[in-house]
Amino acid sequence: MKYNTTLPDDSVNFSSEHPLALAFKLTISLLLFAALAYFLLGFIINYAVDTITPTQEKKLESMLSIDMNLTQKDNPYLSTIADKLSKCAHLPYDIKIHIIDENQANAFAAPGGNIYVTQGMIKQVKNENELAFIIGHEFGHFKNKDHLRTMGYKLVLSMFGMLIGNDFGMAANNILHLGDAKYSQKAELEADEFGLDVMNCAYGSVTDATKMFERMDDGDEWKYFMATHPGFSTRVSKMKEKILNDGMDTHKKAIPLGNIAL
Amino acid sequence: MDIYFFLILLVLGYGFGTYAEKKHFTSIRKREENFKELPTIMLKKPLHPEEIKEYKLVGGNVVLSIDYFKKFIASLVNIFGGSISSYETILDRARREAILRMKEDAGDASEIINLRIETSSISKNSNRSVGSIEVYAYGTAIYR
Repeated sequence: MKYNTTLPDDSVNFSSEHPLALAFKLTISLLLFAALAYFLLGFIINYAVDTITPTQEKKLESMLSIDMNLTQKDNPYLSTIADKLSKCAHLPYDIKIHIIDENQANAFAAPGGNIYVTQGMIKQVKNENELAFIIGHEFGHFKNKDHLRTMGYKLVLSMFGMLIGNDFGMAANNILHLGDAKYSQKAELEADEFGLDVMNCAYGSVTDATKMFERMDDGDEWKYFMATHPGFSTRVSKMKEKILNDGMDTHKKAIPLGNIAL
Repeated sequence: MDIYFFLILLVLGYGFGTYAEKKHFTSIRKREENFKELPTIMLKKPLHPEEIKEYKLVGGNVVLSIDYFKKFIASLVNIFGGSISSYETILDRARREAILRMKEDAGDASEIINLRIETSSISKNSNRSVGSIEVYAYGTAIYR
């Protein structure tokens, strides 16, 4: 009996496929799968958003207790502006505007007719017209049900993150976010248009509607490629185009700011 | 920002991981060649027990870490199914390295019988860590 001295055969224990080729194949499959799932779920979300009633939305609102540092709930001065605009907007909500303790200028619409405005935004506002446009813009989101759609898409994105798990989920999210951003930018421009319409109807002019964006514009359009909002100069030029086309008035004197009482 | 961080880790993982793996396989093959005259078998009992002068337990232990690129491939395969080829090479390396270290431990033994391989896990259940494998090979070295 003799001991066989042949060395182990390298080729049987692992596949000869190049790891980069495998990585490429898998990444492409994942992207295709994700895109398909995203579109299918997108249809479901759009259907759900289109058929949801204000009563159901009210329930949704109580289910999702948004946890934020509110400095003020249902600000009375902002509510008077919302009431003026509501006469023109015909939204099925009882609008409430809250102020958040946050320095970055931002405002967003949440289910059930809630609008959240940051303190940073309030500090930048120079007159009531500017504020009215911001609120009108959020009205636009309610009108197009963007607030519900965004929530649905965020839910889907976080589901993908959980499915893939950890860092890789995050990277996949970033890629999907690119598609989301394009949709979202379109929604923002539509909300801007609605904001102008509502403001023009309630105030009889759109004086200073674009002022806020013009001040915030730093000329850097590139960073908005992946952002949820289009660049300020894009927004301002689109708005001015609409103001010109619809022959809206921009000369009526702007109403001074009332008492916000932060 | 996350995506750049992720891509950098992926490129680093692939670059260093591939280099280390290539170097390791070269070293493994060379040492296997050196040790090919030492019979290493799974038999529980020696073939000619009457000639044995001495015997002892010998063992070799190795811990290898996977890289970010290997983990990336594994997490993608987790979705679609199939063999995780990026882990196959690292397991193969770890087992062969452990056996080689055991042979080095045996010195001038005439054979090693009752070879066994155990795998333990240090990094089990830690989701955030990159992960590693631990292999211990041991057997009875026979000196004639």
